[in-house]
Amino acid sequence: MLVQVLGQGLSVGAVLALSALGLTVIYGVMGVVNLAHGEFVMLGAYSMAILSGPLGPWLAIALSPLIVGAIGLVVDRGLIRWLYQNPVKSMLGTFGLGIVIRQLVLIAEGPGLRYVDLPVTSAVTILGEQLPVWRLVLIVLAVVTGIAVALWLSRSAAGLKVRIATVDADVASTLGTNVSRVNALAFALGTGLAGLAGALVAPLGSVYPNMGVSYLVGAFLVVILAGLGSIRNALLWAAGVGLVTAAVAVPEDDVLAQVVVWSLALVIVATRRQTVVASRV
Amino acid sequence: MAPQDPTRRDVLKRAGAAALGTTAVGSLLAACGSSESGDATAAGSTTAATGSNDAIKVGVLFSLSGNLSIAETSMKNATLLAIDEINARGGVGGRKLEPVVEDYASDFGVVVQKARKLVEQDRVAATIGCYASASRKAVLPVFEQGGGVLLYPTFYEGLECSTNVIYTSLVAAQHLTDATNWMVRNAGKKIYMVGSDYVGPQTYNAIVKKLAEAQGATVVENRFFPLDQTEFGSALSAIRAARPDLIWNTIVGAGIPAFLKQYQAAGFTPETTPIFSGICTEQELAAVGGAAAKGHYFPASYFATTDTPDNRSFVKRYQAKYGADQPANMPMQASYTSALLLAAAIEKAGEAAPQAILEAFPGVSATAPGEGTVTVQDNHHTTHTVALGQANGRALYDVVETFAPREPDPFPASVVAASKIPTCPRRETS
Amino acid sequence: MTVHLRKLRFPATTAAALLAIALVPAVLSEFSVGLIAQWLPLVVLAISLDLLWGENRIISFGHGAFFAGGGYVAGLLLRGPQSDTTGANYALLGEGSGRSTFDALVDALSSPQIAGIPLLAFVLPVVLCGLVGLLVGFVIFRIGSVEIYAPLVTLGVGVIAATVFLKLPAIGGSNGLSGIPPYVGGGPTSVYWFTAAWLLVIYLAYAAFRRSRAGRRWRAAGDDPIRLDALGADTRRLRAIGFAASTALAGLAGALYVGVAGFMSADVAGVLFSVQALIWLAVGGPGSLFAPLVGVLAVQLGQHELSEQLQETWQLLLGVLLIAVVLGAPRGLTGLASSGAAAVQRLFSRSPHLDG
Repeated sequence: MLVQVLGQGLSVGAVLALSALGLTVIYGVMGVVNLAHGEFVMLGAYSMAILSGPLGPWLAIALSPLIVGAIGLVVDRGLIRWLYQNPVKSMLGTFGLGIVIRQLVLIAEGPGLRYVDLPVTSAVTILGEQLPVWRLVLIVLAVVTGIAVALWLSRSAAGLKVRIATVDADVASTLGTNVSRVNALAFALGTGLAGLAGALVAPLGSVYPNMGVSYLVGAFLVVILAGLGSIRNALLWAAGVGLVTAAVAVPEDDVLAQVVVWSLALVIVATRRQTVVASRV
Repeated sequence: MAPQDPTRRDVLKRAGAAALGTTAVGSLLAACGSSESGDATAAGSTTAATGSNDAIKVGVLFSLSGNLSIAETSMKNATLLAIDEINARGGVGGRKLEPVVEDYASDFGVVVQKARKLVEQDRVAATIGCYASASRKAVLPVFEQGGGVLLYPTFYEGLECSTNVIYTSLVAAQHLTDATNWMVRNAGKKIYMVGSDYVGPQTYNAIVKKLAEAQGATVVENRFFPLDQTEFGSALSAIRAARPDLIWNTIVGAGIPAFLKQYQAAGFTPETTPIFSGICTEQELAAVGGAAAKGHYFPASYFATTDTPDNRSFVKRYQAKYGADQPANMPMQASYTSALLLAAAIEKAGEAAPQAILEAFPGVSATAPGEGTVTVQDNHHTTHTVALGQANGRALYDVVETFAPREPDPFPASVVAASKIPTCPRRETS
Repeated sequence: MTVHLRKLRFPATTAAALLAIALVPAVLSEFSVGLIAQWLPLVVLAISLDLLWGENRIISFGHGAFFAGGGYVAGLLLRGPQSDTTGANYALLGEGSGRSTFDALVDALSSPQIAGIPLLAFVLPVVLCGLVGLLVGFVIFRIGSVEIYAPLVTLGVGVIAATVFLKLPAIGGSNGLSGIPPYVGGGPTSVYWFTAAWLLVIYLAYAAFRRSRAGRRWRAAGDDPIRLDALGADTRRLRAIGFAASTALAGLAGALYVGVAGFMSADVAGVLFSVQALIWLAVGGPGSLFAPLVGVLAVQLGQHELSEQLQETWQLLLGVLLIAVVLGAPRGLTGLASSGAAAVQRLFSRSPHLDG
């Protein structure tokens, strides 16, 4: 049972981590609370559903975050930049954006569930228990991506600019950083990560226009716990949420798991000593 | 929201509100105009009911937008196909049927408004509509208090028999009894159950559990999931530990493809542990895909693949009108049949008044495409012939066994205490 | 001249609104009256949100939970104990035996009645939603960055409530609570008058609150909590209490709603309905007295008139509208209208003494 809890917990956590990471980078850099984030996960899943047939699953997975990131770039220039540094306004604006994306996909692709083939259907045996290989692939890809993003942010010149902008846009601007370019980059990165999450869950989950809401809610749960704007905390709490969910769901049931996780989250937030949000409001 | 001189700001706001107030009143008046013309036509059809040649209004109440529209749009289409064909044959008693289509947008608050519009304002002779049980429960009082007729065209859990509803598809015990017996006989006696955390799946699973236990089978676990759940690792590890002979599944909607694909990915096969689903028509199957669905079972009173001349023609007519990519399935066929049953009931009543139609319904028959004769019983439910389908590689079901026709029993004695079984039909609300 | 206009305008607007409310049953068909009666409790819900958003800059994604909760409580009391098969089917399956105690409780709570209206159907939703709101409020306002945490915590409240309501057989589970009778007999028109009277009382109370000292303090707590703290006020406590007042009002709105709609389901507690309510307010223009009324009527009327023809495109339009309001007209329709009115006023009084 331990293997099952770890397998389910970490693969759920991996998807949560990718979507929460995007959410937190976007908030950290530009002060935008992106309520359309679930819709970018959905776009990633649709991109996977459309491309995996003609291009094969692996190329589709590689392309999906790029495509969704590109869409994110366009959306940033067209809408998000009017919402910078205004969390309340950004919540309403991005919620409207979410409706627009959802309805456009619905009109273009229909309301029905989309079918995505599993790239790998086999299962492996670990410590006497079987785990689907796809879950392991998902965990590995998420961890690799998470580390890559963290390294990029801490080592590369562009990443440094993003980090400085996260801390203080004025300082970044004074240092000669093109803040507007950094913002666009960060939004594309954040939505691209959501797109990757969508592409990875598409073969195991269900692809339909309204699928984004549950991913948004999950990502927010992580962000409430981790504090907006903290990348490392987001990764750790995502794994934590996934594992607690699985630890209740596997022996008991999923309805209880949902209630337990949210109640725990409220208790944690309620009893926390001081604010953990990066002060930006 | 910048702080300004408050008095000045308030003045401006109030002026704006006044201006808007007038616009809103204007459009309400416009709405009023159209509603009055609606009343006028409704009055016309009331006189028509006593024998003139005006069209008979039929309400068509489905979700054409929102998350339920996937299933309900095809049900609306099939209803309209039947109405068109009835009219092409000359209508009912020389009068055409006139559909009044309403979209309730997958919203159970809106469905009440729309039902009221059909019953109270349009004064339709009868309404064909609703899909989720919650939508039917929500509109029941509207039809009962307004004296309307609702034809409910999908399989459901039962435990209800309203005076004002005709249940034209399968009811749980009728749907599941023969299939459960077949399942225990042919697949094994150790059963693991999963379902969505909803009244429908709860009731389906309770009935199958009782039926299976009566056959000497055991249910090792009965596990429910939140509606939007697409993560089933918990069930799969429990299934692996329990080693059942078969899975009984009533997960609905978006969860179905996720469950079947994760089941396949976890290494289970239909040869060793088949899944018998209670709520998985061809429409859901299409999203699962041929490979993950192949070999699993679903009992139904209609399958798209049924190879009879009338069914081939039915599917062809439907796809000619609505597109070749539209799979035929049970609720869609039952919606079509509902219109046929309604036409037969109006014919029998000799008039289109709701009360007369209701009284005429028991005993009315129609030929359901691909199924044969179905007859409305005194308890307002319908006789049906159930068959067991096995998914083939093309996301369709092949019939493996057809059972004898079965009477509908909305309150099966296996799960309802004798003292609680009401006489049917009865008014639901006190 | 300007002063004179300013004095006249408030009664004029109010009179117009009153007249419109009074005219509805006289002018419209009985069906339309019933339909509009169903929208009036939504205006009350929008007022409860405006109290937070317009007046205190707090966004709640969980008010649907309080609306649904209030509706369920009132619905149970209005319907009274139910011995037959309606609603919860589980009882028939012989799994629950606690039903009779529950029925007795409902019976006892619905017995104090005035003119046939169970009194507690209004009192209990207000009290229960207020208490839960106070609890949630204390959680929210003990953390910093209220603007961020209020939406997130209320989002969580909505998720939990929707899940829990779906699990409770006593309120119909996933089938919802149906067959709820109205508070007053006599058809849609008397239901309309009953609901409109409540709305009027609530609106007057809200207008009075906005002009009162307490109202100014409440606005100040949202505009500049730090300064108010420095002045010696306990802003956190004030805001928690204000949050509770808002959730109590949302509960009352739900109680009114079930009396008109006759139905309540768990998805009302979910995030999507709560956001729908925010959209009404955004369209109306948060912070303006008439925004809740204008926003609800505009969106619901559009939904009713256009959704049939436009179907999915209607939702798309709603999304575009929300973005447009956020970007171009943060004060919503009422804000646009008042700018328009101001422009008209300038046009007509283009005389030297205006510059003074």
